[in-house]
Amino acid sequence: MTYLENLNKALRELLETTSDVVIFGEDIMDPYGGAFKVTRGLQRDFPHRVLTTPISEAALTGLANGMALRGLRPILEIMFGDFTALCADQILNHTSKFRIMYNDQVKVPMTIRTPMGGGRGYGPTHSQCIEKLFFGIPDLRIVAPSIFYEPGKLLKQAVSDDMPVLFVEHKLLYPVELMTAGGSGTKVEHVPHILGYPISLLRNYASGKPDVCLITYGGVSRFVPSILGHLADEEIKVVACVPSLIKPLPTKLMCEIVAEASRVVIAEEGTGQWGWGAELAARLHESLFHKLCKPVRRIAALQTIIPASKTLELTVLPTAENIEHALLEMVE
Amino acid sequence: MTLYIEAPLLNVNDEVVTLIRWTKPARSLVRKGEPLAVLETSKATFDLESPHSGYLHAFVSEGETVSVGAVIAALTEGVDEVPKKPAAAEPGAAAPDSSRKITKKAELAARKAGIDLNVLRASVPGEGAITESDVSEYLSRSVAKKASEAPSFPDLVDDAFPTNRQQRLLIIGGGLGAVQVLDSLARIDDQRATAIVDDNPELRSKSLMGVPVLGGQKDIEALFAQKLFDAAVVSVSTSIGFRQRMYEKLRQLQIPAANVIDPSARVQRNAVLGGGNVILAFCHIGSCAILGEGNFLSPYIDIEHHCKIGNFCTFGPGVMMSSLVNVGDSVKFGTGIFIEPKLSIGSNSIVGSGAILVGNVPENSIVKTTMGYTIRPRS
Repeated sequence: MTYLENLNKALRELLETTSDVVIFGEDIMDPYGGAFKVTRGLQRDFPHRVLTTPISEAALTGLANGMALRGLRPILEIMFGDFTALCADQILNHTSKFRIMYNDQVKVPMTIRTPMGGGRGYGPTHSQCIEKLFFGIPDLRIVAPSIFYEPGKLLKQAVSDDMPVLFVEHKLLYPVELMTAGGSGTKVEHVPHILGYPISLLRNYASGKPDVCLITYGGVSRFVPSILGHLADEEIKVVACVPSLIKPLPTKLMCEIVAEASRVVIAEEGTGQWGWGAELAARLHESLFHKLCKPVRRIAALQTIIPASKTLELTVLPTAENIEHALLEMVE
Repeated sequence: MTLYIEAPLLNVNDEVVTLIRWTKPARSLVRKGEPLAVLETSKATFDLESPHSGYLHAFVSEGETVSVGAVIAALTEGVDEVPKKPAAAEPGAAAPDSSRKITKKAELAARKAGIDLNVLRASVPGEGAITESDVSEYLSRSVAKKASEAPSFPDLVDDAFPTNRQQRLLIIGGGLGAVQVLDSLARIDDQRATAIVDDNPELRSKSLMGVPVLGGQKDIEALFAQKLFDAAVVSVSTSIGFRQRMYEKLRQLQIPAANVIDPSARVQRNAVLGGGNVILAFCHIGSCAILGEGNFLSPYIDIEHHCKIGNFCTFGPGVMMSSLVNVGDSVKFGTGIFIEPKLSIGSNSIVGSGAILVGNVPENSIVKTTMGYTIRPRS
């Protein structure tokens, strides 16, 4: 089953089982079924709970706030992650603030689904990973499913979560077959997390201590199977740590894994400066200063805009080759 | 000339297009710019204009969905020409790498052990990739081979009864400590170094300040049996454990441990020294002080009178010890330390640089000073 099929199935099951769930967003009406077809077939079958809307992301987010405050569980689709900047005021000053400002008398259980990521030649304003804009906001959870754990399960968890969740999909993962049980020579283990969003651990070795740890999330997960395969051929033992909850950071498990490997590469598709990897590197440094035998290495997009040409995109965004090279340099 | 027409990229979101219908009949003459076909994407339909004039030969039927970039038609110059549909390009098979693969892990292990990769390739049987375990097997084979060959050392036999007979020393460890020991020996009249042993294979058959490296730890006994040295000294300052193990081994082999004392150091009257101590330039061992064995004293160490030092201690430069101080075994001192009189410092302790000790230090302690300072650019 693909990432997209799994999400579509979960949305349908949520509509079937949970009467509070309402799905809305731009262009999600059938037969078009949304820009990326994640909601295809749902409006046809649930015409009163799957709503297509005008183009006004700020208003849509405000609408979701109101629905959530009044007891519904809205799922808002923002067509491209790049457009979440238009939702930012609502998320920052309303969605994430209501619970504390009203002293726990209200909750805002809403989910904003959106695809981030480049690699399809959509140009500078439709290809970004800008989840970093939201990382610093307290009381907002950010979940980014990979190909190793069913995105539909995570979506159900997000919808049942009483906290607001920004649910970051990756547009290149939509057609990818899920690998929840690993692949040839790669073992997958899903470690539960207290907030309900598991962390996937992948190992390309059967026994012994890892040589190096790779931490990444979301879209970059598509590179992980080939990287682990290539490095297994080189007898380099890699443990890949792929959290589904990317904010707040599940640091405890990450620190344990990194301490075991004592070398770590962090890969993310967003720009590197002020990014996810920077925060994670600081946390690892605080906990593991004496246990790391090399400085933390970060791989990320260049600090520039994403070109529309697919060829040039490859020079700006992180690639499997970049990450593999960094891992090899770490063990030398 | 035949011109091929490919399914165009009409919408970046779509990797396929559907051919709704051909607007020109097969083998009809189409002029440049005339609509040729109606294509449909997930968002809209689109008239495909002919990029050229020619007779139309369609490769795709109406209603068929094809990938963007697929050849859907050809335009020929003559009406009777039959164009061939070009076959999809086969991805070129990569040329096989002629040299035998060595895994990265194996390569790192080989480089660490100083093994030439080509030699390794030639000497590991089979044709598969060379792995880390192949390298360790290779290493144990070559060590076993060396041991089975009779050891052959260069002729270093001294005259049996020279009038100015010097004590001949074996230096254990060929690192930075050995450089300091050899430097002092260059100024000591009654001692000289004849050989070095070190387990680093990269140092084999090389020499350090004119003294040859003749093997590793396992060769000490053979070298002594050949009467190539009279006593040994361990030059490794960085590892207390290593010095201790080496002196224990020397004792088992009944090989004397020598003190190396720089001529600029002063050992006062009635001071008592065990064996295997390295005492570098400008040290002062006060009268009646007692030094155990295997201690390593960097320059400018002051062991005042009536102090007692145990065994295998390491001193960084500039440790100033007042009188009657009692130091246990295996204590490591940093740089620039002052110690009040009559104090005791327990065994296996570490005293960090810059400490000023005014009280006793129990065994297994770490003394760390936390004097802060700042560095800022000159304005």
